Amino acid sequence: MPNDPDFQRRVVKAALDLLNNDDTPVLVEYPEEAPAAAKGDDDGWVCPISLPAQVRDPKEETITEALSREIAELAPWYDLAVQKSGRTTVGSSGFDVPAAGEFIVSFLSDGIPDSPIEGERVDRVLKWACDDLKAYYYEAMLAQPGGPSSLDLDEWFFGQTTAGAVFFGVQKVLLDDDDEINQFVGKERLIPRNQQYWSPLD
Amino acid sequence: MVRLIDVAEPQRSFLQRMPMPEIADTPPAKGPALEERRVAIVTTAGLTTRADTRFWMGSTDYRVIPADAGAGDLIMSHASINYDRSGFQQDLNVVFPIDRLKELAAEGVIGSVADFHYSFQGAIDAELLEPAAAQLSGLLKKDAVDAVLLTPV
Repeated sequence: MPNDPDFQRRVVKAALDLLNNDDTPVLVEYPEEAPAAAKGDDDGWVCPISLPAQVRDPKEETITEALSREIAELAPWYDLAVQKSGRTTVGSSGFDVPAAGEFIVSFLSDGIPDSPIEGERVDRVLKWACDDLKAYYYEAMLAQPGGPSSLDLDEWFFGQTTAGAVFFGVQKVLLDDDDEINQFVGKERLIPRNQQYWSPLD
Repeated sequence: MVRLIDVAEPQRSFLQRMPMPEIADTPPAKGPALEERRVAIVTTAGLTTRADTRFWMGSTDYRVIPADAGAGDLIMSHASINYDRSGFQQDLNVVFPIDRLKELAAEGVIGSVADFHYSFQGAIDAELLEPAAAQLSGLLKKDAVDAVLLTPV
């Protein structure tokens, strides 16, 4: 349970107290429900940010431009998230977020590029860039009121954003490639199982 | 621990089909009272410091996390995309409860917090981690650790 130190402390204390137990069983039920689960709030979540259509008009805006625009539109919320929490989880790839977006979307227009990081396979750099882009979007949303769940965020990202559409496009590029590792990364390392149903390939 | 009923499909069915190991009903080795123990965290969240090597598929090694590493210095490079990272994105303590341990030490509930903590990457056969875990146990002893808080992710 994030940002609930009292609940976290009770859970950690209960786990450590097991060390004082000389008897079996050592696996015991922790009876307290996490506060959010106990509240039973299942009203659903609506993205509070009104993002324009994924691509306004293919003749006027490419998907590269649409992704760049979307990233820019989320920047104030992401900045607020960083300001509130004092940290970010973006940073696996070493790219800044616009550069991560440009690298990912380049797979759609140019095919699989050479690795931009010497000594690292391009599929690894792609995965880390995708992790960074997702973290940027999710942190921006989590800064907003309304408390989206993980599933809310996944549904929004993969179903409603240009970034999600780009992920599915890159997945197809990898699946069509001859390299078995690229195929595996496309199948298992870009789209969570519970969001695969958005795929235009299905 | 998340209840299975709260996990969305198809991840729930995937987890239900996974073979589970037999857990021996063995109590922990006897040690000093909790208020005298030095505690380290060992997580499988795939955490690294920003300067450290990222995890990748099949990684069976571990990364060292100094106790004084700032929350902003830790990132997650876990290869799996199928688990919820939103908790970690909001609060490091969800997967790495270092602040809670420091509070418990300050309150005298535990003796002290180790100087070094460790992260593996989960979503892998636990037996493959055994060589690194054996090496790690030696490092923990050198740090005078006599209790480990495992956070499986």
